[in-house]
Amino acid sequence: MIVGPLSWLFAESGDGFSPPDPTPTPAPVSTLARVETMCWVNDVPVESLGLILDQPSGWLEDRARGFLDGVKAPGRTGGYLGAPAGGEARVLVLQGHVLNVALLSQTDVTARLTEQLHGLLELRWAHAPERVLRGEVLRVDVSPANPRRAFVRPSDTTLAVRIEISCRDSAFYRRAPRRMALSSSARAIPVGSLAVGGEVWINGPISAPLDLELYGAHGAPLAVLALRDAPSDPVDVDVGESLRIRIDSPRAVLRYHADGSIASHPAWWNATFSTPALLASLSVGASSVAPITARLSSGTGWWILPEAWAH
Amino acid sequence: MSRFPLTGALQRDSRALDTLPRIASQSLIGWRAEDGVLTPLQSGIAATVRQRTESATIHASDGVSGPLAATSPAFTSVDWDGDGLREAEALLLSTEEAVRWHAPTGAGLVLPVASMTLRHDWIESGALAADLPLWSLSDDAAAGGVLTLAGNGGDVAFTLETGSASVSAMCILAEPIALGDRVSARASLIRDGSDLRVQLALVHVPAGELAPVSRGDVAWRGAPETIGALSSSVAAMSAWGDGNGVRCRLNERADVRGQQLVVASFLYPGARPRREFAL
Repeated sequence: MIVGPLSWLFAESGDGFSPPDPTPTPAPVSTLARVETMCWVNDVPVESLGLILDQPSGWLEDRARGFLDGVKAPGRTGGYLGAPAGGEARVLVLQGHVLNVALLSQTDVTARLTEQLHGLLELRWAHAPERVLRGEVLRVDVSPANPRRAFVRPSDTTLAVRIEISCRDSAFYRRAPRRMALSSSARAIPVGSLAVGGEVWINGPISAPLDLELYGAHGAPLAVLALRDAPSDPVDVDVGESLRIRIDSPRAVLRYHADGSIASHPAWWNATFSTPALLASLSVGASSVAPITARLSSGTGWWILPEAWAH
Repeated sequence: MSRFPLTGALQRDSRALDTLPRIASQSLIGWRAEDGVLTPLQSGIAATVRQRTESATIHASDGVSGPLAATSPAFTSVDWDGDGLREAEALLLSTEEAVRWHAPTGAGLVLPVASMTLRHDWIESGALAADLPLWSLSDDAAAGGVLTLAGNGGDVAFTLETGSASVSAMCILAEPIALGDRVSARASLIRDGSDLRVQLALVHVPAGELAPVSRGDVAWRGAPETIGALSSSVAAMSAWGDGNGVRCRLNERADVRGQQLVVASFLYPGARPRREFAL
């Protein structure tokens, strides 16, 4: 170890240090005409922030799928089908480098990264850009790639960047949900590898008991969502009005859209249909056959389904 | 250890409340049809809709069309990248409909008269030839300071009115915009001291052609952009509108409404090049 006033000039043995050339070195010319986008953060390619990703982790890990402890599953354990179990948060780490940074520009680089990488982010990857993963930034670490040479060439340093993101909802969703027309004719409903219900919109007028029937691809019934005002009363929706059913575990949320209201109608209520079974039918893992088939007992409507995948 | 249901409680709960996951947005007001709601990404901004009176015909992802009740906003599946599959979402707005963004109390927006950039992506549905509005920042009567993106004899014009004068920027394309074409406008308001200017740039992809960048990039980042001339300058006004009831409006200016399939509409602070567009 060399200690003294000029010790910063001298590296430890074996570090290959050489004093800088007294003649100015021309700025390095990048030979990269194009950097392929590997990851978008809020629709911005991370490469446009100068960040070259070289070690992402956690982005392709599978998610555990299962049922809550003690819940029985027909066909597996017998008994009734319960709500799917919760999933652990996905912790995603993006590691990479920002090249050719002048020491005096480090503040700008850091500011640009932290401006873009804060709060809840929407991430997409090059292998499936139509799938979206959402997560919150935990921390953005910026440090010299070679700490022992951080100040050796202050006009041309390399920064190592490490971004830690927590995705509490670890599922990937289709960026624009699939929209399927519903009627009394059977329609194939595509599903992803994770269960997600989506929303069913039913057009008025309706003045009869209404069933949303699900079938396997083989045509055998899987589940029925029976809509009634009371146990045996018909659903009553006028012309021009609509009924929305949000199907999520462990319940369905119904919303009645009367004429003249879009965003603030107070008529909300929860209903406890056999939705766990219905919901569980909506993923490749839970139903024996995919895709499933759906139809309404009468009327027309739409199923807006944001397919979900584990990766 | 946090345990959230795998069914997406974070997103679906928000969706049903007609609010969104609050993604860190770089925009002043940013809205995407793919989120399936009318509220923009920003917290503290509410949406009001002027509804149509008749049912709409919308398309499923596989192309099947069907009716949608008049009380539901007409989100529909569209082919945005030109590969023949309806992989994207758009909001179908008829000449009866408009979306207005404002404070949750109903009060107007208070925005500085400063440089800003509008990104507006849509599928042409007849507004341009009929000189109908696509977007505006204005009060109800379109008095005082008004910004408008609208049709102008089949072309697109970005117009600034100050209450006493107006300037307009156009972007004349080699191939005119036809029905079904996809268009992404970058309309800039540029403040230079006490003067204001406007400029319009367009990316135009005729119907049936592949978008230059498909890979799921709705913004068509890197696509060739035609940039129109910078307008002459006009003295800046002190506020937008008459200082009251200013709203950011989709498909509306004063009491005139357009018709379009809107894919996204983002208003950013500052004059930005296309490569700096984000959420």
